[in-house]
Amino acid sequence: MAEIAAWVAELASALTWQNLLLCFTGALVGTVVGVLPGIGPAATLALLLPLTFSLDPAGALIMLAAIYYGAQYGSSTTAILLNLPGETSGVVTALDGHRMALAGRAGPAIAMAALSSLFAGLTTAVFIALAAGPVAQWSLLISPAGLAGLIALGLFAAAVIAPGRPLPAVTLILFGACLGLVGTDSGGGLPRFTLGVTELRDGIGFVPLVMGLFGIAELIRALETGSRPERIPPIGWPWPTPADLRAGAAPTLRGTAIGALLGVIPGVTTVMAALAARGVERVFRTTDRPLGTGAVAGVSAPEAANNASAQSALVPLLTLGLPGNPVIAVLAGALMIHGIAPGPGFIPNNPDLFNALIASMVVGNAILVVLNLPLAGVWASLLRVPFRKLVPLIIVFSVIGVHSVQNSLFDVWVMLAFGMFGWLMLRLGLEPTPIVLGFILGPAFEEYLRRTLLLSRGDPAVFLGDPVSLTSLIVIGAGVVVLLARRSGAASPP
Amino acid sequence: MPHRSSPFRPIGAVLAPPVVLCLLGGLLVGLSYTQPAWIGDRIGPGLFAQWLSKGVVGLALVWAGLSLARLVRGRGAGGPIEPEAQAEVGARIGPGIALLSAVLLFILLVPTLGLVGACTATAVVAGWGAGDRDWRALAASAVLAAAAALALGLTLLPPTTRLWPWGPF
Repeated sequence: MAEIAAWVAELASALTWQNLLLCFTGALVGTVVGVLPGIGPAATLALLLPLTFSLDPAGALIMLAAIYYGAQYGSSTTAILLNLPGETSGVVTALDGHRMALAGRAGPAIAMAALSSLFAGLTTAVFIALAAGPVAQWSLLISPAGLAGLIALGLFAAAVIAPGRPLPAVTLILFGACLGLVGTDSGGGLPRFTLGVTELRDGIGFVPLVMGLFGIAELIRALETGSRPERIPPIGWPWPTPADLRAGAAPTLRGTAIGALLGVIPGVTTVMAALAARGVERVFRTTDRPLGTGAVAGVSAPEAANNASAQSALVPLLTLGLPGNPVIAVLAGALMIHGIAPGPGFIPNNPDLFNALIASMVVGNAILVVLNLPLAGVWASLLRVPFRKLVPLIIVFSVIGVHSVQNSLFDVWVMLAFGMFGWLMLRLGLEPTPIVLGFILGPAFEEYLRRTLLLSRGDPAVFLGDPVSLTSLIVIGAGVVVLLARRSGAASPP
Repeated sequence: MPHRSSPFRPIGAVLAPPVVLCLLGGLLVGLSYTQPAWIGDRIGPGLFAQWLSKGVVGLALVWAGLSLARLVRGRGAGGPIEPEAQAEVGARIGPGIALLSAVLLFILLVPTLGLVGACTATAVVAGWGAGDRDWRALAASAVLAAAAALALGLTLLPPTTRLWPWGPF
């Protein structure tokens, strides 16, 4: 009991006024981003990265994380009211939530979404606090070979589980890893892939890369495909009835559990967790009306799952250094820019930062309910602002942001190049996310590989002798076999 | 992806992604061989770069082969041909070109006009690319961008940042 009290006191001390303000700002920005279709949380984090340079690492992490889970909340509002999710995870909520809105129950639907998200957010914060510590302690015992194996497994999982086909994703991860090698080799001090350009000796900047791939390219995609609603339905009293609360209680619990567990797997996105939670609800009998016709369970379960998975995705990053999705990859980049390497040793070496993050999650989720329940109509009315009015300012903030990182126009050239490349990828039907994962994890993988081979005097058999590395290799091998079997099964005539 | 009647269109749509990556991978393979893979018995800077870039080329070739086989199988069975690459984007390329031009304009104008002037021009081009055709709306975007650049320049950016054409650089 005394330990828990000490832990709560530690959390409370991490919440300074500055951190609270940053948490509120992040939640506010995240809600706006979630409401507005066209620019997702990854692009927003990329665009706001330069603004966090003047903050301390805890403040930067708190604000960026709040944007991430704030976007999940905001997305549900427009998904329910307009069947137009600002973020992909809202697609699942819209299936029943919009039906409720059409039936004149938009208020209770928004309230149930917010309350389910709040429960999931608070529970997952406790889950992270409890689970991350032991995993972090265990990760300190892993050898370089084991870490290399875990990185390979994380990348493989991200490629296989993520939407789309695995082969293109793996190819793009390798390409991203090549981009991560640009610069001076840490082992021998020789330049690699620099084309003789002096500015590239320090490597490709993370900020211009993600600003180009996510920021500029996503803006172009939004302009090419965007559409806006004409009418916003009335919201009414945003509070659920006791029957709504009863109908949503069990689905919220199940959604939270599913989201929290799936979120720690690299490659699982919030929309996948929401889909899984909705799929599970099909097994259970709803107490109000069937799923798909405006059931409360169809709102509560996916909302709880997407919020829980958004937060638990931080566990592999903070303990093993594995960013499982693009938003987490940008968060990892933000930490690295502040001189902190996420991975083994992060939590033991930065307990204050970790506590501040957990505490901010608790407070941030409460702030988001306050922001989203009474102000749902205000957020929905944001959609009346034409997106084209926002584009010039977003572009100006992007170029100023990238330019200000090192006061270098070369970085803006890099952003332009990756903006063009990202646009080309989108037109080719490819997602840029694996490139960013490869860019971050490729150099780390090389570092552990180099250390392993140095210690083993060049003997690669060490990867089969290390239990973690061997397990990773076996899982990857089994995954490849399953994929090939499924492929040949699909190819053979029925 | 807009549907065209040309028989070459699906092949192009299917093969373009792996071919582009194969070419990029080939370029990286060439560059990776400019560095030694081993220095004595130690790993050199070229080893991992060679592995990765060869991996890009190899996987892109496998991807292209599988896509082509799928395409041929689809035709042989008389079924519909589904390009692997299903781009979400439409046929319009105007916004993309305009937004990229706006960024390019910023790069070209900052050294001469300073941050405020470059941001103003960038906002006008970006606004045009986003679909604003009303000159008053474009002027409003320009004024907002100039104000934002000035505010950021005076508060957050280092004093060495050149805000005006006549300032230090």
